[in-house]
Amino acid sequence: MMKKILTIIFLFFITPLCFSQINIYDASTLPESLKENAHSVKREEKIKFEVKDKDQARLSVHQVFTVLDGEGEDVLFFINYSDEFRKLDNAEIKVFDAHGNPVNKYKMKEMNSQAVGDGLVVDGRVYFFRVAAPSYPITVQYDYEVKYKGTLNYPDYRIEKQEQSVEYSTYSVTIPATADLRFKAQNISLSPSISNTAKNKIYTWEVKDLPAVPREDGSVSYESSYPAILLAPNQFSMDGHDGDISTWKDFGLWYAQLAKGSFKLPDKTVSTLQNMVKDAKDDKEKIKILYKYLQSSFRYVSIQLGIGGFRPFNAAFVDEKKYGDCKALSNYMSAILNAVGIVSYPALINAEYNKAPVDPSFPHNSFNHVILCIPENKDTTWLECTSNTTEPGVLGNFTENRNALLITPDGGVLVATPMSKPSENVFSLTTKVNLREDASGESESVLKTKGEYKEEVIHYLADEKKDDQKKYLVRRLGFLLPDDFKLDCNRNDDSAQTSFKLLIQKVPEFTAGSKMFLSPRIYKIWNEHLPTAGKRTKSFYFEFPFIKKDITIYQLPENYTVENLPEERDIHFDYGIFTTRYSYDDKANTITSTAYLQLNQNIIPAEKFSEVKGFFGSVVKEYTEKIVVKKK
Amino acid sequence: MRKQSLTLILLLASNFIFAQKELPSYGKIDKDDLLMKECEFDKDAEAYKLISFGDVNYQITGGEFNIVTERRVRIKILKEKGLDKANIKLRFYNKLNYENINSVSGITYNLDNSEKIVTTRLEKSSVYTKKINNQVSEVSFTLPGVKVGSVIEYKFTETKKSIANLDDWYFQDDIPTRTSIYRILVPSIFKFVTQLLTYQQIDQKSEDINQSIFYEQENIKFVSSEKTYTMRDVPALRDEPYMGAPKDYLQRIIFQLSRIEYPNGREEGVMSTWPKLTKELLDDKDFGLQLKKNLPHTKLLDDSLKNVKDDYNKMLVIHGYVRKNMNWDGRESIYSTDGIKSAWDKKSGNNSELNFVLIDLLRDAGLHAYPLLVSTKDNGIVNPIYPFLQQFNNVITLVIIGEKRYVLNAADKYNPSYLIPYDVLDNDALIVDEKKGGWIRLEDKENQSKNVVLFFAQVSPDAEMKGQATVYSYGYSKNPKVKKWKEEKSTFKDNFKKEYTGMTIETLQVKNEDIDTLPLEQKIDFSLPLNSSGEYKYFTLNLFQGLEKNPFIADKRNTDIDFDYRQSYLITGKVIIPDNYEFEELPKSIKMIMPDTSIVLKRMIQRGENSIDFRISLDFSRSFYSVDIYPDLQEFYKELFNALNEQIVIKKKNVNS
Repeated sequence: MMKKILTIIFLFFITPLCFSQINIYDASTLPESLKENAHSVKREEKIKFEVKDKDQARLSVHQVFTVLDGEGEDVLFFINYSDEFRKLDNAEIKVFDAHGNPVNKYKMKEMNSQAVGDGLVVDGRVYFFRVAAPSYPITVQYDYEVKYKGTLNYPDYRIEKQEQSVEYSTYSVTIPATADLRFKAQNISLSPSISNTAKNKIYTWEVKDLPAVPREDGSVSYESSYPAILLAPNQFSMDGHDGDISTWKDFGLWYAQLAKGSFKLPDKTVSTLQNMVKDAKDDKEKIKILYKYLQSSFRYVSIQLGIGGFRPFNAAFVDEKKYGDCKALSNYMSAILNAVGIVSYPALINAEYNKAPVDPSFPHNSFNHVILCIPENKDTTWLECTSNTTEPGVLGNFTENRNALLITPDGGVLVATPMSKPSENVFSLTTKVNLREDASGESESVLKTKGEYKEEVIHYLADEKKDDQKKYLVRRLGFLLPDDFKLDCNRNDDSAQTSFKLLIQKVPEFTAGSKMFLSPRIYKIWNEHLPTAGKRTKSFYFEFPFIKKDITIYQLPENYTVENLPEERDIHFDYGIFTTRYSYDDKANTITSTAYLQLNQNIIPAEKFSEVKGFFGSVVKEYTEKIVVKKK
Repeated sequence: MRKQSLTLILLLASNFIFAQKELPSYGKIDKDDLLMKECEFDKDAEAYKLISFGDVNYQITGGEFNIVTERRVRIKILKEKGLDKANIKLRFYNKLNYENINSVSGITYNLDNSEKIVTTRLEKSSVYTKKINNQVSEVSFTLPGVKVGSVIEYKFTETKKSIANLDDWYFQDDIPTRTSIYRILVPSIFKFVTQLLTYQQIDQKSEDINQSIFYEQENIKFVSSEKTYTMRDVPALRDEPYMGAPKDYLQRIIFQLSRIEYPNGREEGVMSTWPKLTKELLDDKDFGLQLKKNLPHTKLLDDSLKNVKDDYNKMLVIHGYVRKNMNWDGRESIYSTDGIKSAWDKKSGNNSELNFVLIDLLRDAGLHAYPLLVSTKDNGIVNPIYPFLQQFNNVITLVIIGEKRYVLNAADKYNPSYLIPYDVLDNDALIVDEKKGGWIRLEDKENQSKNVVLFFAQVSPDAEMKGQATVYSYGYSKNPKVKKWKEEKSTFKDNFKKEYTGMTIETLQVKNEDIDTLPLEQKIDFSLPLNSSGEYKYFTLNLFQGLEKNPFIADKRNTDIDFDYRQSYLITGKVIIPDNYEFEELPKSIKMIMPDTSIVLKRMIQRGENSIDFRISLDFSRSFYSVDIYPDLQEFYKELFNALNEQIVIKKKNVNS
C-alpha cells in the first residue's frame, strides 16, 4: 500500500516535467505504427465488470475510438442490445474533430431504440445511434453501463477486431471473494494482475500498442479470429435457476434441470408412434421412420422469450402445435424416440460452417443451436431437427467438425460431431448436347446430388417457380441462357434426381469464321470467387468438401469435325483432385468430355491456401480453354 | 395522427347476412380446398389466398367514432416454401392508442389419413403483443399444426380512433388470391371519394341499410349504404428486376373523406384540395413551423459563404455543407419527428428534418428554397388528381434561381446539386408554399448514366495482355460509384475485375470524387492472361463496363421495366498484338437496334497490321418500357449479351506463309 502512494506522488511531480500528457482525442497524436492495416484505432478503453452476486452484475465501458477513413465507419455506429438478462442503463456519446475539439454530445434519450428478436416474437431492444462524420479522422467516445440480471454469460474481453489497432485497453473483473472467475486467452498471450480486498477479487488485463489485424476473408468466425479473453463463472444463476458451469458435466445438469418434465407425451401419441414403427426391423429403421414423421409434420418456428432462450417448449405442446424451435424440436424428437424405446440426447452446439469447435478445457456458453444425438456403440446417429429435407444421420456443414454438449441425465458430455467428407456432398451431372450447324442446339441433362448439393437442389429447383429454376441454372450453375427448358425434379428420390432439357440458341462460346469454340461443358463446374492469397495467417474455410463429376457429350453436326481438344488435366494434391478427359468418336461424330473435381476438406491451413487458390485457378482456366470444331 | 372529433351518437343496426358460397363462414371449410394440390391459374404458387375479407363498420366508444375493421384471411399452403405464410406479424400504430388489434383467433384445417377434416385452434396464450417503439406495436403468432396441404385461417379486429382514415384495400398480394372482399358500412353522413386502381373486373354492390341516430336529443332516421367490392382470381405480384414500386401494380381501392353531411342539414366539406393541404402542412408543427425555426449558424458555414456572391454558388456551398456534416438516420417521413433543432444539434435526423435544415439555411442566405413533396421509386407514382398526402413518402428541397429549378436531397450524400435525385425521377412532385406552391414534373432530359472507357492494351509474346483503361462515370452513374469508393475503398477494385478471368488490377487511381461537376475518373493498369485452346488465343472487349449479367432471364413478366434513367456505355481503344501473331476472322462490325429504336448497340472493329481499333457503344434513349415490350427487350438483351461476349481470336502466324 505504501509503495503505491509513493508511486503516485512520484509521477505527479515528474510527469509535467518529462512529457506532456498525450491528448488521445487529437488524431494527430496517433503513432504511425497503429495506422497500418487499420481503418480505426481503439485509443483508450477501460471496461469494468463487477459481479455483485450470482444474480447481478454491472458492466461499465469507456471507449475512445479514432476512425481513420470511411471504411472504419462501423465504429461510428453505436448499437447495444438489451433483453431480460442485460439492460443498457446509461449511455453517452461524445464526438471530437480531427484536432480533438469536442463537437457533439448525445445522451441515451437522444438515441433511437427499437424492439428486436431473432424469431417470430420480439424479445429484446436495441439502442442505436449513427454518428455523422463530415470528414476523417474523427474521434468518438462511448461511455455506457449495462446491468446484468443473470450471470451465465460474462462479457468476454474482445480486445481487437479486424482492421482496428489498439493504443490502450484495460478490462477488470471484480467478483466476490467467495466466487471464482475462469478465463482463457485466445490469439494472444496475456495474463491478468490479480488483487484481493476483504470482499472482492479483482482481475485486471491491460494491453498497449497492438497493431491492427488485417482482414482475411473466409476465416474462422469472428469470435475465434481475434485476440480476446474468454470469461466464465463457476456458479451462476439465470432467472432464479442456479447453476454451475465449472465443468461441462455441471452445465449439462443445469440445462437438463430446466428442461425437466418437458418430455412427457400424451398416451395417445405414444401408442400412435409405437404403431408407426411396429414393423421396423431395427432401431435404425425406427429412427428413420420417426425422423421422416418429424420432417413431414412439424416445422421450425423460432420463439425465444427470456429463459425460454434456454428452456424448450415441452413435448406435449409441440405434439399438439406441430412447431417449435431447435430446442423444442430436438426435445420432441428425443421424446418420440423415447416412446419407442430409443435413448437420445439433445446436444448444444455453436452452429455455422465457420465456427471453431468449443474448447473442451474451458466450459463456456458459446452455443447457439441444439441438435439431437442417438448414441450407439460405434454407430452414433445425429439428427438436425429443424430441417425438413436432410437425411437422417446427416448433419451438414452447419454443425459438423466440432464439439457438441450432450445433455444426459448425468450431466453434460462433450463429444465431437462427425467430420465432413467429400463423398457426402456429391454433384454429378451428365449432359448430351445436340449441336446444329447454325450453332444452336438442345441439351439433355441428368443431375444427381447428395448432401449439401441435394439440399440446394431441393431448395432451388424442386417446387420452384419455372423462372426461378431458370435463374438457378443460369446464375448459380453458369448454364448458357436457354430459349426454353423443361425440368423435372424428384425430391423424394435419394439423389433428388433432376432432369432437364434446354433449347439453346447459341451453344459455342463464340465462333470465328466457320469454326466453333465450344466450352468443355455448357455450365461452370466451379464458379466461386476465392479471396486473393496474399499473406495469410488464418485457415480458409470452404463451406464443405465435395465431389463434382461431369460427363458432357457433344453430338457434332454431320459436316463438322474436331480441330482441337483442350489439354487434359491431372492434378492431384493434398487437398483435391481435378482430372479431365476428352475423346472424339469419329464414327458417331461425338466429343466426350469428362471432369472430376474433388475438395478433400473444407478447412485449409493458411500456409496451404495459395496452393488451393492456384488449384481452383487452374479449374477456372480449364473452362476458358475451348474445344474447336470446324467444317469438314 | 390528425383526427376530427364529433359529438354524435350513432346507433347501428348491424345484422350481417353474407352466406354466399364464396364467403364461407369462419371455421367452415370445403373439403375440396384441402384436397387441392395447386392453384389452377398459377401452378408455381407456394400458397394460395382463398379468402381475404375486410368488413368495416363505424362504432361509437366513449362518445367518439372508431373505425372498426374485421379482417379474415384464409390461405392454402401448397408447397414447403409457403409454410412461412402461417407466421403472422401484424403491426399497428399505437401512439395515444390510435390503433389497436384484438380478438385474434385462428384455425388450421387438415385432412387425416381417412380424409376426415381435422381442425386445430390457435390458443390465446400463443398470441403475443409487443411494443416495437414509441409508435408501433406488433401482434405476432403462428398457427398450429401446419404442413403442406393445410389450410389456415385467422381473423382479428382492428380499431382505429378516426372517422376519416378508412384503410386502403389491396386485392392483390405476393401469392394468388381466389376471393378478395371489402365491405364498408359507413354512416351516410360521411361521404367518401373512392379511387379504384384495378385492371381486373370488380363487382360492386350497394345495399341500403336503415340506421338511426341520436343527435341533440332527437332520434333521426336515415338510410346508409353498404358497399361491397369483390375481386376474384387475382394473380400474384412477384418481385422482378427493374420493377417500380409494387404499389404501382397492386390492385387496390383507396378512400378519402370528402365531406360530412350532418342530419340537421349542415354540411362540412372536409375533402381537401392541394392548396388546402399545403396550408395545413405549412401550419403543421412538424412541417411548416419547422421552417420558421432559427438555426444557430456554424462559423465554418458562415466563413465558407463569406466570399460567395451568386445564388448558385451559395446553394452549392450550403448543400455541400449539409450533405457532408449531417447524417440521414434511415427513417423516411414527410414530417419531422424530433424537430430540426434536435437534428441540427445531433447532426442526424430523418429525411424531412435534413431537408428542412437545408431549406432553412438556404433561406437564411437569401435563396428561394421550398419543401418539395415527393414519392420515391419504391413508393410509386403520384396521382395529382387525388389530394391525398399519403401518396408521398419523402420531402426534399426545391431551389429556384432565376429561371432554373434545382432539386436537392439533403439526405443523399453523394448526389450533386445539379442532378435530380434518381429515385424521384419521372414523377410528379408538390411544392409546398403558399405563393410558389403547385406541381412540378421531375424529369431530366439531359443527364443520363454514362460510362466512357478509353482503352489501350498490348499483348505480349507470352500471351498476356497488359494495358491501361480510364473509366469516366458521368451523371447518374457517378453517385453509386462515389459511395462505393468512399465507403468500401478496399474492395472497389473488384468491380472492374471481370468474372471468370485471371485479370489483375495493378493500380487504380480515382479522381474527382469530391468535384460534383466532373465525371468520376478511374484510371486502371491491368493485366489479363489470354485464354487459349490449341493454337488459338482469345480475349473479350467487354471490359470495365459492368455489363456482366443479363438481368432479363425470366420468360414471364408482369410489371413494367424501369431503368430509372437513360444509360449510355462506350468503350473505345486499341489492342496491339505481337508481330508473330495474326487475327482470325474478327467479330463483325454491327449495329443492333431495338424494334422501337430506343436501344442501339454499335460495334466497330478495324483491323490494322498487328492491331485493332475498336469502338463499342450502347445507348438507351428511353428509361422506361411498358410490360408489353418485354418480349422485345428480352430478345434484344439475349442478342446483346451474345454480341458482347464475342471474342477476338488470334493465332501464331504460319511461318511458311
